[in-house]
Amino acid sequence: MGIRRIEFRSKLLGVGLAVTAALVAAQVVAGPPDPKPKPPLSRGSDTEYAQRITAGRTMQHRFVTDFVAQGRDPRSVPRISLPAYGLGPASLVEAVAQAEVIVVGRVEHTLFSPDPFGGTTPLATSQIGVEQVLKGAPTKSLTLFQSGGPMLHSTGGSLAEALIQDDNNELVLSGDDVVLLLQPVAGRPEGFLPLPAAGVLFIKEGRVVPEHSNRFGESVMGKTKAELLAAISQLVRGDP
Amino acid sequence: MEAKVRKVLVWAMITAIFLASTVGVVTLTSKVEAGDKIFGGDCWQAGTPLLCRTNWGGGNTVLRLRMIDQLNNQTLRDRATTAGSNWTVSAGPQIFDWNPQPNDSWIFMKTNPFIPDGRARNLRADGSVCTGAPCNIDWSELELNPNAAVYVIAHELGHTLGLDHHTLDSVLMTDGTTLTSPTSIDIGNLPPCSGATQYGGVRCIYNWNM
Repeated sequence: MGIRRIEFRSKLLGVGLAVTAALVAAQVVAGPPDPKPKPPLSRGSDTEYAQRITAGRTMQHRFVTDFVAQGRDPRSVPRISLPAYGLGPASLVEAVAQAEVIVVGRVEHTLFSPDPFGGTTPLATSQIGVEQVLKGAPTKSLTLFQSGGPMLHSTGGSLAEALIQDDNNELVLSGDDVVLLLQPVAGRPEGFLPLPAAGVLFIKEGRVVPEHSNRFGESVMGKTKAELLAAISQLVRGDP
Repeated sequence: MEAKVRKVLVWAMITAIFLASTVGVVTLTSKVEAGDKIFGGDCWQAGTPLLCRTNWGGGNTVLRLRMIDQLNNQTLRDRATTAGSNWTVSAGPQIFDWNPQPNDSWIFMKTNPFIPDGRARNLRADGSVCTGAPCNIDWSELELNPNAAVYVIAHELGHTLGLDHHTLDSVLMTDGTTLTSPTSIDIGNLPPCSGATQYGGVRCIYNWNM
């Protein structure tokens, strides 16, 4: 009986010692409690805020300028699509009717430049070598404007490089074979914009690859270039 | 006596091993979760799961947004005034105004003929563009085609609040909408964040319980 009491006391004392030691150790390891996070109730003065924004824009402008100056390949960075308003035409019939110009061609080169309006998103200016005009006045080349290009982005972590584009306006790049359904740019008679979501039909290995957000994409996906051009020509002529 | 000391030490070691494997984990976990719970709108916290604006004071406090006119287009300005007012009079923390407000969060309103309709880009304090949640929005650029309608602007203002496209119903934040004011789905449920994930709205992002 006496021996059992001694064993019980030993256990109790041992556990007590260990608990005390563990609590002390935990406090040492964890340190004092984390301070309660504080909201940034002030974003600084207007001047400080404006300076921060200017610095951010300058960083983006420098990034695209350096990207071009270093001759970097835009295909070497991930392509990220961000939301933009506009669903685009629901069918090839609608798209052909909405487009003022439809051409078949190859992107001869694409130049990225900082936003001409002082914002952060670059402007992509592509020169298109025209092989065939399906709708609109005959021409051998034209200029395509698209908003987007190399940018620094973040999803909460560290900065990363990406080719940022609108989700209804996939960027064309030098060397792309394309069928373009275009509309004029307000105040810029020298250039064109693609129709939202439907303005660029890529031709890859002889087959049509529509933009991801193209609402009639499934109906043209995988068709041969000849089949697509025949369908568009028929619609332009107004044949039933 | 020596045997007694040995037993005490053995039991101390056993208990210490047990505590190290349990208390240690608890201590580590509680350190990560220390501080306020990250509910909708605790946007100042690193690790917020949301896309939301940082210039905001917490649950049930208003979010003041200054639209900065770089449109150079009176028609677009008038349309933006309507779109902003439609948000302001709706439930939620958002107050859109052209005039300076205390501790306001800035949205640069710009005309851009190179985009077909409109789009909003949200940026962090370091100037990087938000490409998804989580992201602490410090300022925004809302760019509009010269022909952009009120519904385009109202929709894009929703993006500046951190709202993504809604795909289940026909509401203001549905891509291609022609609505000019937020619906109850864009605003969200009471209490905030109740219901399915797709029905959060601004109430959920900013923990607006009114």
